[in-house]
Amino acid sequence: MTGADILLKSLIKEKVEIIFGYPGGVTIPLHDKLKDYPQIKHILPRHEQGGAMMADGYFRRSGKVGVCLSTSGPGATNLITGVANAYMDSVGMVVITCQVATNMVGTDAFQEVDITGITQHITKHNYFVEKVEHLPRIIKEAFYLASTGRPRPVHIDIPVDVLKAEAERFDYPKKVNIPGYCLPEKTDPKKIEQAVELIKKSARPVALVGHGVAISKAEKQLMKFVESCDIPVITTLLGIGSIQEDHRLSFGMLGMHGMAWANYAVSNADLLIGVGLRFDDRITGRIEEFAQDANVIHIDIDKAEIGKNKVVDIGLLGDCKTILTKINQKNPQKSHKEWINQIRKWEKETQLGKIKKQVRLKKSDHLMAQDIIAQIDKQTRGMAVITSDVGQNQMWSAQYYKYKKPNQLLSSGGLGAMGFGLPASIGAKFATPKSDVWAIIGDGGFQMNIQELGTIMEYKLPVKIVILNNGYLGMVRQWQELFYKKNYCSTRLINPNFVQIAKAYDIEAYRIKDMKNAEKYIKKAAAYKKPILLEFVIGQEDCVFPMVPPGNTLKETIIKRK
Amino acid sequence: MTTKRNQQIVLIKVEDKPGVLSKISSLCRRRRYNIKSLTVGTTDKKGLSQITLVFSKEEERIQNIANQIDKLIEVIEVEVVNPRNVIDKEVILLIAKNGRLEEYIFKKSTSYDINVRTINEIQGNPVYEILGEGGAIELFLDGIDLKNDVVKMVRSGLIALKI
Repeated sequence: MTGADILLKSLIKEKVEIIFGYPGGVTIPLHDKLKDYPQIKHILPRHEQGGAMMADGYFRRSGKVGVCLSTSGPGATNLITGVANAYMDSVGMVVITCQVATNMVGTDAFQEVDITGITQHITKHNYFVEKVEHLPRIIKEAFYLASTGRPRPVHIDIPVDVLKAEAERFDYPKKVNIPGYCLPEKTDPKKIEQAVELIKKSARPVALVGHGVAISKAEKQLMKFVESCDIPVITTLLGIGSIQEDHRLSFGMLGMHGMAWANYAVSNADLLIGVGLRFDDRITGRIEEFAQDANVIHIDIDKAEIGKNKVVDIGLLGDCKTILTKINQKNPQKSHKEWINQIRKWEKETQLGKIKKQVRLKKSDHLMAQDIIAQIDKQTRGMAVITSDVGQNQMWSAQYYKYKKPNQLLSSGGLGAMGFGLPASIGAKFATPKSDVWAIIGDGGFQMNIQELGTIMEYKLPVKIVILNNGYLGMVRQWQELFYKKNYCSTRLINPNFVQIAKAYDIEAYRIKDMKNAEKYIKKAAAYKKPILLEFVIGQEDCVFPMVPPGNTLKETIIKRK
Repeated sequence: MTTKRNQQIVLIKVEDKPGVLSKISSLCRRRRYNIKSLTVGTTDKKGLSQITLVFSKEEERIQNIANQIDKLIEVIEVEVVNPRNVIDKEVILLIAKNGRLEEYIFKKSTSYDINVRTINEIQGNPVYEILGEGGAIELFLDGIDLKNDVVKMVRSGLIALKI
């Protein structure tokens, strides 16, 4: 038995069923053993970044820690954007890199890079495995850290001699002993009491919901809480779906491209109840003036997030589900009819449907992304899993699809990493093969991980790929239009023929220019059982609205083009 | 006792493992906190070291960086301490030019409660070991013309013991 056997046996103990791994010189001793462990499916991405993002999508859909694997040096550095993305969005992941032999470490050997040094700030913890005997404990700890508390990537760097080393026996530890890592203890009941009092006293409360609700699977507890206290719910990008969008208390997303009424509601609230979010600058606008008149209750599992960006009145440390259950036990009840009517009034004044028409440059001589996403929503009855890329396609995907469940929209929130959409859809499909997965991507982001079409082809994954092609890096172009006098420097994209590329990968593909065909092909894709790519040629200079210009306050939400 | 405090002290108990110090110092860099002094040493408990981290008074939101440090897995405990609740000391090794500081040093040592020993003499210049509380050491140094009266000086950084 070798270190590689120990590693694979340990992964099986952790119930790992799938690894997104890319081989290289120093992984061969490991890949050589895979055939002996058929319980583990090994998926070959076409680039390590794709592998990390697949592991990310896999976690978000399955709730199980995603595993990605690479060789040393360039293989390991290629993972980095995917790992940073997982770190920012609280995604549980175990990242395994193989390393040059221990006696070569530190000599600038071929394909050697100080990868634990590099991952230090984008992982919850990292390990360099010195001895084969340490492997089981380290793997046990890594999975424990990645999946408990605030989930995040944990990195293990294994020198090739450790993989090859002979081991006498395999004992997998039953428990972990990590003295410096404690999960939040019981919340102070007094603080819960105080929070409930504050909730009872407030006239204009808003529940701000982030990724924490989806991660802790607290949507039922959230529902009970907001229904009994009659509190409007506004979400962040990653909080979307924590409340069904057609619920009477659901008021959409806030922030830079949030719904104007949601931004007004937050600006006028007298109480914010932050549930599992981190008051990121894209949702707060200028932080000094964010919800100035409101008291703030902040529920989060990460102590360092409470009070980091926004000063809070009551910080409740713990997992959203536990804390909401405790609040619900106090059975607070209230009605906020007037306040909700006020938000609804704002909603009518700034209705999305209206905005949608107003952003059209001319009457409608071109396809609009908004219509396409609304059409996908219709054809999939709002039940598809959407993975978005980053930029305009991401905001339109957030705004125009009516999500019903947490983790139904997978998006690169914190890092904003272009190239996320396609590999994430692959990870999502492996995690939940029965769900209908659509990747909605721009022409820029598609080309950042276009090589993963090869993975889709190889594994015959029936993912629906939607390219919103405006021939620009659209969001940057939008900023150039609005803030840099239309100096479209380096944002114009000269694109290849995407349909031909898809066909070369044996993926059925269509280029669509009008709404009639859009409807026809979206309908076809919705029913299709094989991978399919639809390229929509949309208006080149369409903008995403509403928009809060960077550095402004939420009150200054721009609703339409001047 | 005269104690001027231009210091905020953070005490960190860590597992004695490779890389911990680098993680803490680069975390401070990454979050843009400027470290004034940092000392590490073992404690009475086996495998446990203490880091005394000092920031200047002007550094804002010290609790925030303490929370971030606390998230490092090797870190057992972090506390932003009130200087009143610690015993702290710092040592200075100083070579004075000729006997210029003789009078100042021995006069201030009584008023600031600082221990001074002459431990050597190099080319006619006395070498002093100056030991005192962090705040007192700061005050003491304020009264010295470092450019003209000192050949060389080095500080140990602060160590602090919670009481």
